[in-house]
Amino acid sequence: MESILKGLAFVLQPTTLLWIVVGDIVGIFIGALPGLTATMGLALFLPITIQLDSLTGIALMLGLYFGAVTGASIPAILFGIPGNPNAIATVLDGLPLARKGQAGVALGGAVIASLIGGLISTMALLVASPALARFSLLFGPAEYFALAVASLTIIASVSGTSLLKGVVMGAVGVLLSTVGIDVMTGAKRFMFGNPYLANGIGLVPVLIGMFGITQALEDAARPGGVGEMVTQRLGRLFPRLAQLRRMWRIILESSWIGTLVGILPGAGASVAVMLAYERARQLSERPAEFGSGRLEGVIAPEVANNACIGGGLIPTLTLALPAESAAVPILAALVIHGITPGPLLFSFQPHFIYAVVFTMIVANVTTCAFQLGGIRLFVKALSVPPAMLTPLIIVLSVLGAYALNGWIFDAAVAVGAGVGGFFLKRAGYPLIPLILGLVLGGMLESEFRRAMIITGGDLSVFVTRPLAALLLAVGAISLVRQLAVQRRPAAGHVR
Amino acid sequence: MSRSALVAVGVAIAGLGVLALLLAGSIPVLHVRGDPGPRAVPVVSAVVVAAGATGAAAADLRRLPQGERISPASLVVALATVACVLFLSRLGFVVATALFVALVSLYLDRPRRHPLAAHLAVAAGAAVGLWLIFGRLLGVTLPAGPLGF
Repeated sequence: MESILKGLAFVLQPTTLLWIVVGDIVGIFIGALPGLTATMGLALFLPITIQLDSLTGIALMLGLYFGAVTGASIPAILFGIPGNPNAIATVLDGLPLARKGQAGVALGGAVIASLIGGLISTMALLVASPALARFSLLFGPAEYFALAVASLTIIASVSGTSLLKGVVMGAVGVLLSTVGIDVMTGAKRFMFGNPYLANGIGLVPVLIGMFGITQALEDAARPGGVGEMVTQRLGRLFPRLAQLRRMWRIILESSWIGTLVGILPGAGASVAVMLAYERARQLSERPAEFGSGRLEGVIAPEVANNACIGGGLIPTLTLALPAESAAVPILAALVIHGITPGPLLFSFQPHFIYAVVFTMIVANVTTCAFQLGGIRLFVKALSVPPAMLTPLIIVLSVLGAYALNGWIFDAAVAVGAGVGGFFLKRAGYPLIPLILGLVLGGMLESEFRRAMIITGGDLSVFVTRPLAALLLAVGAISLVRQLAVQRRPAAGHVR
Repeated sequence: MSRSALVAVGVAIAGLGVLALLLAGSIPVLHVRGDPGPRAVPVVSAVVVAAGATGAAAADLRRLPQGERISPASLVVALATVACVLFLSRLGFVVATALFVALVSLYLDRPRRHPLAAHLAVAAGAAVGLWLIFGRLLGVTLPAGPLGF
């Protein structure tokens, strides 16, 4: 009880609240700007947190983290550009909702979903950390490989009208992920003597290009464009309570998907949001409408991506193992401040854990409050005629890609991805599987090869290990089901 | 897109797969017991791409043309975007951005609904505003042209 009160007392101090708010606002700004990721923001602010005491520094970082993850939904819904990779799935139904004049409902729904997901995973952090940490240890190379394959096959089967084209795009993504220096052997692959490709094709430039520039090129052909529709018809800001109540199962399952996937090191929010999206589609009363503006298609991934924050902090705090890149600066901040993450943290410094938990609750709530309060402001700031908005989106996309490393090469990759993505999309080749292949290809290959090294080349490991077999079966079922749906006369499909 | 354009895209992707397969042959294979090596995943994914895209192109060949034709506006904006990146270093960020925004917005605003001054103001404002935010506030080193910005 003393530890709980100590933790609560810390959070209620005015300086703590101030720094959480600063983190929120900066985080929302970072999340809403394509090219600026949560990881980048956290790394940029690490020097500032060092000047503060340990808990205040962590409070700033958590505010920034929540802000960036939640803020990424703004451009995803309004422009079809995910501010972060964790908002990929939000685009699928968020942009169509905005086009139908329900941008407000989508934005408000995304914020509420983020709040719920963040709160549930925070409770999981508090209650189930040791057990969940043990669950994460069950995942070996075979399971990670199977998880990557399952994610890719699920998304290939839900994106677009042609299953074959979805699979091809997933394979293109995996192929592109092999560009660069092989981390295991140092072999150079598809580099053509270009040193910029040593670390592979950048995910963020491709993401920005395929979502931002591709969308802008499509909008160039549309007289009204997106911007005009969005600014004229923001409409109501919240989904109806009855709508949210009907989604209770989607919300609950998405939060668990986000929490569980979040604790798996390397898996990342982009996997969680896709799994949550697919699960929401299975649970929905109208699965065929996914991709054309179903609110569940926004709620599920937004619940999951915020749930990943709490989930991701579990291995970070209990095992000193950052679950994804954004947790690395947080871990660094802990170590710099002399706090040793690990199982003993719960025993010897429980007040720290409670302080982190209460900080996460406050950061989650204040982020959502600021974002909700600012929705009309964001949209008002974007009340630019479509003819002017299109080149602005392109410039922002190019600049976002350039800003990563200061390389023109990244800007060129974004433009290449954008123009290529435009033609692919028009030809019916979905882009999401390609992006996910690029995201997961590295993990898929490295875990497959690790599994093979461990077993001496025995492929049966993927069926003899129950979790791996289960995950592969889930992927296979998704493919078979989509094949059956496409063969039916009035096929239901996602855009 | 027309049927021939759909098939062309499929053939192009299949060609990419075949090219990747050929190039993958030059990836060195370094043996560690059990490790399939750095060539395995590129080869498998290239085969899936080549075979899958060929199948998709064949399926498109049997289909009726679908969807709209590609608008000339999209193609013009795509070319302008490529040109903007090519000239970014030579002209500098501010000049290249202002030119790009002004020219593209004027092109898209046909028939003209907004005055020329509005287009120029937005172009200049965007270029300078982004330079201030990214270049000054966030500390990103932006390409500087002959004018120093």
